[in-house]
Amino acid sequence: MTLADPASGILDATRALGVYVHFPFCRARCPYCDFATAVCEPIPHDEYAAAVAAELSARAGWFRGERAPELRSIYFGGGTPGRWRSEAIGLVIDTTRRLFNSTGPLEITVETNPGEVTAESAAGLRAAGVNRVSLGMQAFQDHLLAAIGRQHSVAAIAAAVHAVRGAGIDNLCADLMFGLPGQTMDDWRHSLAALVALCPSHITAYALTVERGTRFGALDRAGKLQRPDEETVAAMYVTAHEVLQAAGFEHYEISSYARPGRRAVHNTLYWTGGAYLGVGASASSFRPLHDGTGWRFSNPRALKTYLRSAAVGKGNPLPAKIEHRAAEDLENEGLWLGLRTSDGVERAAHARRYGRDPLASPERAAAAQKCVDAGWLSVAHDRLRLTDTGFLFADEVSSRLWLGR
Amino acid sequence: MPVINKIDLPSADPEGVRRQIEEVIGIDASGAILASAKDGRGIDAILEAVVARIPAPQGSSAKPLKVLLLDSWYDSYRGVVLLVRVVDGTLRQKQKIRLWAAGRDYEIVSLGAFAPFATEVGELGPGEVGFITAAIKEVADARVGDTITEASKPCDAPLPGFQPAKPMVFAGIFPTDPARYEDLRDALDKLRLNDASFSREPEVSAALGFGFRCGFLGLLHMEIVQERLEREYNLDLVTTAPTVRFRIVLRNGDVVDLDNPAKFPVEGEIDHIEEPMIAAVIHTPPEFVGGLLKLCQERRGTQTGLNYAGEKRVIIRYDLPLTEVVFGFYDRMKSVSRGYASLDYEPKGYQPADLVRLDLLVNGDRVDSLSAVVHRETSYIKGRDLCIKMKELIPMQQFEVAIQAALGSRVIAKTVVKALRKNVTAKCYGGDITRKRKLLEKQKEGKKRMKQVGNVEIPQEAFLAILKVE
Ligand code: SF4
Repeated sequence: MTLADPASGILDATRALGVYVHFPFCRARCPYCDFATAVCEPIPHDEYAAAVAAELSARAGWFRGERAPELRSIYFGGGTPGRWRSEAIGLVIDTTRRLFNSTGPLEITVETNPGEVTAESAAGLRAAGVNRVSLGMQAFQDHLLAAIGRQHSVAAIAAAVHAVRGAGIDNLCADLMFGLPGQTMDDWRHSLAALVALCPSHITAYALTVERGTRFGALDRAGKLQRPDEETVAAMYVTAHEVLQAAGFEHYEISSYARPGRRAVHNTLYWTGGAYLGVGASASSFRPLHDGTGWRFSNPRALKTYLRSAAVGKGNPLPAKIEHRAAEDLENEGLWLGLRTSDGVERAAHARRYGRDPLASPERAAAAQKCVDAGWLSVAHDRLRLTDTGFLFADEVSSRLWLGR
Repeated sequence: MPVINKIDLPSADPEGVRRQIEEVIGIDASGAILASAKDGRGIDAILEAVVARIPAPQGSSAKPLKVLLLDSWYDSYRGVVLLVRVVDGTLRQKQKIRLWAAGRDYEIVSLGAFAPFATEVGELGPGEVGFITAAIKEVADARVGDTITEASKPCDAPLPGFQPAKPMVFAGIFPTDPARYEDLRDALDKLRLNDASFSREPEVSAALGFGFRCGFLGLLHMEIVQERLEREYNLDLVTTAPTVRFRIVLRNGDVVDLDNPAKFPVEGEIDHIEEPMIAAVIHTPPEFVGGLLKLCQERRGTQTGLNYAGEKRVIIRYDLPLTEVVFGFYDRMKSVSRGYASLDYEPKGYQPADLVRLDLLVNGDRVDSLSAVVHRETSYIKGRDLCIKMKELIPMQQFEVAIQAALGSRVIAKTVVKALRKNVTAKCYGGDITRKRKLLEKQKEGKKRMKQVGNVEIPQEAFLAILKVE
């Protein structure tokens, strides 16, 4: 039996590269959250930083082909990486820079929560090299923040923005949620307006998804989670689109809005087939290969398992999941993820990468026609993209266009 | 001649089994032979018992040929193989034989016996069992129970008791993808080579397009055929709810055999309707008798017997309308008896019944393949429950879908599947796309199993919803 070895095969070095660093610690677990994170005091800052740095060194070789791909982004996600000691973040950034090739601008993002940011911590991030901060604001009503178990208040939001800007980081992103328990359309409009007033450069506005295995999941199954109905949630989505577009934001992905020139470099890699190396507990990687196939793999989720496995593997933890994706699979994925963006899928580029036009298969062409008739999809000679309404039916469209084998 | 095998096993309990045979089957097992095929114990005793207790064949080789067809199967090299037992006369190589019921003549190509492997023999005489091949192309021509005789010198009467297996349950089978109609036809033809007991006729449904109305011996048989079509021939099928063959007597005196609810005549033309009955025998442990009697009663049954066979077994006899049995009786019986009860039945003629056609309308249009023939008394409840069930099964679509149940032009129940407002993964970043991708693939699988009816997509299970209605 041959073991799946994600290090095998030749990297497709023409694709841009991002590094994702997972930091699995939070002050408290939010009841809707199913990310790999834990509430743990004290946080093993240095031990974790050492493990992550060792993993970077051990795996960097997997992401260097004959010529090194261009590193575009380092993204600290979590968890709440804003709680990580800034020296540790600095160490990880320096290690990454040393290992990879980056000549152009490099986006370095840290996610954090409003209650976690002080003037000092922001200055620390800045000194470590961070140039983009993403704040999990979620709502501008204290009762809603409490309803979804957030640890911060509305007042903390403005303070955090002030601290980040004061430290000289001007690329500021905000997460905002709708479809929350008890949230009204007026609440949502107010949150949008309050956020616009803070002038962020990037906004992620997304609906609460109730996942199994979370507290909200259990409440929901017991029928004890009162949420706005589907119709209201869909209307909130449309409202966000209208308000933010009017305020000068470009709606460039289903849940993402940006000021001109401020699209998220890192997330764009996910949607456009870029390579990414994920390090730390639970982090996922994508290693596209020269032959059109690719490896997707991810690390163990539990912190202890990750640390132990990384130690045993000399920095190289045994992935918890490994998938070798055939060229046909990646083609399906490319279409699905590409359609999530307002750029959609450029047919010539798609054909170059996957060897055929996205509508080459008659089965898919027929399915696409139905989506066009439904008003969800626009098919031009050079490009496929979802319509404004189509954004709300992205999964419907993608599942119809998905080609089985 | 009871034989208790596998007595070599450590867990063997011959005395317990002896008691069970008496309780369950009701025959005397005191003389049962204890045997182990594995270590050879009891084999001599079995052979001796066969000689002593089974009467010798009475036939005569001088009489005209009379052979019983015991079994037949299709062999892709040799065509149909017949397993036979000679009653009178002698079977010889190259002989010209006639299959009585089929009325066809064949020449024997090979003649043999199983000893235990197939071995060619020169002839087979009275009492002997062996096989014949004779370039027979379809199992349909070789019905089990038929009599074989010599073409040039036929016997004067066939063996008694032959009854060709008759389909009792009917359902429409359609390809989900209309383009695969031809494939379905070929697959049915191939299946029939080996299984002559199901019938098929082309059917055109306004809702489902081109397909076949097939007849089966029973529900299990139907499931097997359907499963084989899907597995062995890789077809995605929509099967309509099974129905029985009703006999409709019209005002003008004509009698119509109806095995497709879609073809139900207009109420005004009907004088009366008769439905096929069965004599059902249910074996059950005593604790479930109450629940089973109630079930049979609800299913319009007439009790014809109830007796204890030993302490642990009760035999319940009922005359039941076959259509009630087809509508999920078996599942109900199993759940009432926690899986212990078993059912056997035989056809028992026809009986008049007050039946109506229950229609289902989707966005105002009657979907012919969703109609069912039901008893008037339960039609309201069935209509209401059917609407509720359909609402669960039909996924939200781009527009609202109204579901109505109707008797004739009268709507008796209604539900609505709301329009789909959105179907989108809210947030798709963080590199772990695997789970989200799997959700999409699942949605895709679901879509493949949908049949487009008008502009509404209806999942396969929905066509069987009536079976799930209590
Ligand atoms: S802060 Fe973010 S990562 Fe942490 S528990 Fe809440 S939602 Fe999850």
